[in-house]
Amino acid sequence: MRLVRPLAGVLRDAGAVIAFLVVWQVVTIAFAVPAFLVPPPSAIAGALAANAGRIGAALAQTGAEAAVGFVGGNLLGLILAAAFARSRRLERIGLPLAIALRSVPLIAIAPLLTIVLGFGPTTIVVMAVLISFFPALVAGSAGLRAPSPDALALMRVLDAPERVRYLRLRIPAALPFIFAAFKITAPAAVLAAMVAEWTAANSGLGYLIIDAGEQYRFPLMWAGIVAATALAVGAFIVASFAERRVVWWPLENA
Amino acid sequence: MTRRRVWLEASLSMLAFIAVWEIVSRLIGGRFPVVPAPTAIAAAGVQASYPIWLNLRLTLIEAALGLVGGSVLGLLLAAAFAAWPRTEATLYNLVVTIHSIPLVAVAPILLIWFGVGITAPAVVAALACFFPMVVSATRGFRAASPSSLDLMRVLGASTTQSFLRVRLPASLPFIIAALKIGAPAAVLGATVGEWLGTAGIGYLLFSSMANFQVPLLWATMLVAAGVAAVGYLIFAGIEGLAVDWRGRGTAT
Repeated sequence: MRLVRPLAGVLRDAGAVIAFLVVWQVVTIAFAVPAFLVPPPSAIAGALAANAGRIGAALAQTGAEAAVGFVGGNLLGLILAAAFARSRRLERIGLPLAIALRSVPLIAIAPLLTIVLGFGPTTIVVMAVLISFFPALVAGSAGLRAPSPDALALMRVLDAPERVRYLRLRIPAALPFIFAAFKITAPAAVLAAMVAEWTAANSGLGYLIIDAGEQYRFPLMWAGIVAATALAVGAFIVASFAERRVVWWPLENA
Repeated sequence: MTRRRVWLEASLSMLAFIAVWEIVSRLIGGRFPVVPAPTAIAAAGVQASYPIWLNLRLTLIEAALGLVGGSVLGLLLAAAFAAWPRTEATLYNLVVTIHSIPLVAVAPILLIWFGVGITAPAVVAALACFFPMVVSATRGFRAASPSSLDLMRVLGASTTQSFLRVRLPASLPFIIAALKIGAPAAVLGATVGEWLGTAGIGYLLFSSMANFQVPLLWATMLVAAGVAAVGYLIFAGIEGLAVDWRGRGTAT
């Protein structure tokens, strides 16, 4: 029963996607829709196959930049969250600055970062760091404070050292929050890397899409978009999978 | 009281940050031209206030059009999900799939479709706030208490009546929460949409980068950030009122 229902759901979703592609193909050919509006799926698949090397290299580059930024941003955010959890004063000084940074539309920052950090991978990685940092900070702060006062009091009564309190109580309590943040930031890091590639690179998926558009190679442009979407969705799926493996216990109020 | 104190401390730490920045950049004395002093940024902003305003006005129009359009479409879709649950099973995953297409990847296509003008940025803005509204409003329409819905049914209310009287009021906090996310997202979406265009805050950002007008670039970015923050604060304020109202409603 448990196995059958998701399978039926998967089949229905696959059916919907296939139906969508078939309708798309038929409509673009029947009405002779020009390629600059919407190329048929077959043309996009053709461009994907013909440019597999270039798209693969761009995909690997953007994926690597996003991954490095994701790891860096989460490390920074979680370290700062741990510092905030230990010192209220630090939090009162630091949190407003972090929120101010957050309220800057990050995509709008790309031209500025390009000027400050120069043309190249540094800018792209820093964009991905910035976009991953804030959710990690917020989720980490909330998570480390999540254990109930009763549980914390019990730890104190049992005279547990600080290290044990963190390992046994605070960090496990924070994990669901942190992994929920991962699911947001993993695709966001891909997005951030692509934006930065508009201004600070002449390679990668973000650049490929713009460049193909400017050369009127529309099927290639759409193929790049398909690859970018696959990368973002893949990042989300990996994060969801990791969440289910690590946070195996039932949540009280998720 | 405590709230005012939080605001006070936040402003003080911002002011301290700006002061340190100003002092450090004076000490360095222009050896790091890509990060100008706050006073230099302010001066550039004042000097270019008229072109910034002209471009900002365009971005605001696009963001507002996008916010209204995207939110209305999102609400309609969520209402359709509430009225015909079967559509949700089929369409929800399609909506999620469309949402997972990176917005930056879509912007160049929209520019090709609609040409240079206000349409493409407005559509990017609409896309940016459409999805939060669908998700939030779908949850909101389900938030109505079953007993209230049962009562409406017992009293012989039609589906439309119980939608308007029970489901819609119950979903208001969710809708406002979506607008709170959507308003800055619309500003951001419009900015990205203008990036490849010829006018607006996004264009100004891009052109001041290309022309190495560093203080202007900083000033424009701060304006964009401020506008996005104001959009958020407007709906956060409305939410504050709405939560009050909801709290009183459930207390009785």
